[in-house]
Amino acid sequence: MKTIEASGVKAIFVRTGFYEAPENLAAEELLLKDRTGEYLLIYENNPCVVVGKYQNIYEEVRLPYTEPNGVPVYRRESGGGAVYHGKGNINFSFIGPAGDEPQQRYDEATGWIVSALNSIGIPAYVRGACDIVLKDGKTGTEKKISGSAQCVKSGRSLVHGTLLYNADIEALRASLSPPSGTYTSRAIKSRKSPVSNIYPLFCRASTDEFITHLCEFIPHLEEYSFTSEEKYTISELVSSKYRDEGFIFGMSPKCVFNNRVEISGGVFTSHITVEKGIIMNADIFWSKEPAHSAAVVTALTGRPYRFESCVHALSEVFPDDSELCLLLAHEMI
Amino acid sequence: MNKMYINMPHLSAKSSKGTLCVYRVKPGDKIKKGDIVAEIETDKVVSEIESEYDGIIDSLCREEGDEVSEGEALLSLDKGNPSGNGKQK
Repeated sequence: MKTIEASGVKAIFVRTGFYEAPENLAAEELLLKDRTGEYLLIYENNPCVVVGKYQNIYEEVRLPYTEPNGVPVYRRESGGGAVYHGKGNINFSFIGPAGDEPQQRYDEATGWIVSALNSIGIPAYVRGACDIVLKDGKTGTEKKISGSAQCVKSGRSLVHGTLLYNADIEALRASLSPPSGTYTSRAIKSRKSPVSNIYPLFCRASTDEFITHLCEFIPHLEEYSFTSEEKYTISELVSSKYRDEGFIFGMSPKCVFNNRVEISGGVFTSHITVEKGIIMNADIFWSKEPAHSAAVVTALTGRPYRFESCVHALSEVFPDDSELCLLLAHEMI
Repeated sequence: MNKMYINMPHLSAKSSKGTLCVYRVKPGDKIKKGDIVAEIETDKVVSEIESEYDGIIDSLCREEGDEVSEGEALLSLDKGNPSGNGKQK
């Protein structure tokens, strides 16, 4: 394997060959924990949402949108906020020795991306620790095109970020829209920013052409693919961790959901306590059907806290009214 | 008891504060130097906090989710012998 030079960093370029976030997250973890060198990865994931390690999924992800639309949710090892992934949203990862200061690692990653963008006339620049933004020519407002997060383990650092080249902004906004009620928790919160794609500024070239440009910008680039043994290790990590509901939902800190809305002329209130992704306590009341409150609470308690499981619980109480079940479930998560 | 403190280290040039996300130990746990005792998030960086000492965890000084500043005590431990320099801020 030859080395490449990225913003002064000698790195080995790895094409993972994976298109699912759990596989790519596991690949990053393997290179973080089991290797000593510098690695650079570039990949795209199929549509999903990935939250920061200590975030509360329910506060960050609009499950009534993602579940029916088949958009899975995953959790990563690094910090920061929730991110929508999908075709046209390019992921990059820098993995190597942590050095003295995490900011240096951010600077190496963002420096490379900004240099590559500036080289094709896109006036991107770094904002704060690790965001990359463009200034809107008409309004002067900054639009975020890239964000990163990092984890440091045993003296090694993983910086990974996304680059909005030609992402589905509508799906991004729908997946990360606010919940119907309010959550109280001690989780890390996302910082919402206006976002923009790069695509209109790069002669409307395809995502692959843009990735090729990023790669060409780095001299002496040579690809490395995982061996079958490494792929097996990655698949073990995927099943034991990155696709494990206990890691994905169970890591959400304890939270309490509260909502009060008017539905069909009656007041509907919900107060739900969730721990490790499970409904521990619920207090549900709808003034139109007050006699059913206890049955709804019984059906909910102990279930995984998901949109679909709320619908199922309600359908046990209102078996002949699926529309009502959907309506109420939207207001319970 | 030879009580020592493990404090919030310097983690970021841009911020002297972070969020104590999780304790990886509990009172009564026997730990060795280099064991991970907590995880802190600052500037979207999750960092593992290692123990500088061998000992037995005495108490956890903060709650998970708390904002902590550089130098503040995260936990105390009984080091077992009178050498060592941990100080509480």
